[in-house]
Amino acid sequence: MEALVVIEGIVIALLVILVAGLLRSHAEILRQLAELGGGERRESRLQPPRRLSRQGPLTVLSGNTTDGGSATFALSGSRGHTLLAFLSTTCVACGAFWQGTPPELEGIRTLLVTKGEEAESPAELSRLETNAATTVMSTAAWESFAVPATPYFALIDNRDGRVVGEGSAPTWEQVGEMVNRALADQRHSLRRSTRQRKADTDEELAAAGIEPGDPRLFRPPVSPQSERSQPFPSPASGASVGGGVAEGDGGGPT
Amino acid sequence: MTQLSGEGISVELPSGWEGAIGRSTELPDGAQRNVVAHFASFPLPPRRGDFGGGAVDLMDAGDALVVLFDYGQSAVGSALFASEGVPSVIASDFDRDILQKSIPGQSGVQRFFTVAGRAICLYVVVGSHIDRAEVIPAVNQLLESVHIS
Repeated sequence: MEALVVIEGIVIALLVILVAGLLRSHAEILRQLAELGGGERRESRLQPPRRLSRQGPLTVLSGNTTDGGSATFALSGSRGHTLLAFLSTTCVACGAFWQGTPPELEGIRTLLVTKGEEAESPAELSRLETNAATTVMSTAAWESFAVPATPYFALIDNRDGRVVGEGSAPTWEQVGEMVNRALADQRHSLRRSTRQRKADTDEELAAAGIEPGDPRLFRPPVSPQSERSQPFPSPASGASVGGGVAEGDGGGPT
Repeated sequence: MTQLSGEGISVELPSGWEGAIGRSTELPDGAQRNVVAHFASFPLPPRRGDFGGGAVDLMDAGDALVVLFDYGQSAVGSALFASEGVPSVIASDFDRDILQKSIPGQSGVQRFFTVAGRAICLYVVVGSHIDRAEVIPAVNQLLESVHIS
């Protein structure tokens, strides 16, 4: 009887060791799966668009092209905007961008920026590259822009190198929306200095044919009351609704 | 100033300029693609013809495009490439009729020369023939910095 109790005790002890080993192995598998899953999430996590513009870290972007050539792109002192699309050939979420076509927006050129040859496959890039955008390999650009995840996008104002918008999106269509929003924000009066707003006014006046010194600028504003007294101005009279800077209102200051 | 180099060509790009130096490669049809370099004062489009097709369409009045095209060893020693050294350009060199693709208002200049045993064609297009004097200094600044080996 005593022998049976001893044997039973040994069997129970062995089972405890076996179960502990299984639990440990299971925990290790879960940990490794979590690491793999976490990596994927880091790649595809969307970054909220940044609202305020900032000075860009680069005035030029230099790198290699997929055919082995070299290229330098001006991000400052030029004109228009550059949309930098930081992509990778191994990032699952980037597939939609390699297969799609960048939005065609006036004055905006798109550069697909990958890491350099040490971290990318030139052969795969040659297979994936599109005719609609230039692909340039530059690890330095990734580091300068501190790319937090892929895909990641930065819209640069080529005049002064400012980053006027940046963030992530799952499709080119949404990137296009982000770009339009960033450009609208850039034009918004809240984002423009007094000097810029004065320049805007001058530009609009010039577009309307009103140059500095134009006599129409010195006419007293038309009061709402006098406007009401002439509700239906005749085209022949040369006046216009709203008064102020009316066409045909020429003549010297009164 | 930004330095760009590749395929034995190095250049200092003036501020706001950009460029690309394409490698000599064999095309799928077996033809050889020559070394060609494009330098521009405006954003270069992704696809360009050797002599600026696709890029010249985007030029504004104050823009310039500089092309260096290597004709390869077979052209070295020919009379066309007898001139030695990278040339500079002056306003009277520019001609509206020399353009590979004629665009109203634009003009260009083409020069053939040999440097370091390489037969090179220089092709310059300006966005405005009338205002070319404004951009020629930048073009010459770039050409003076070109080093070909």
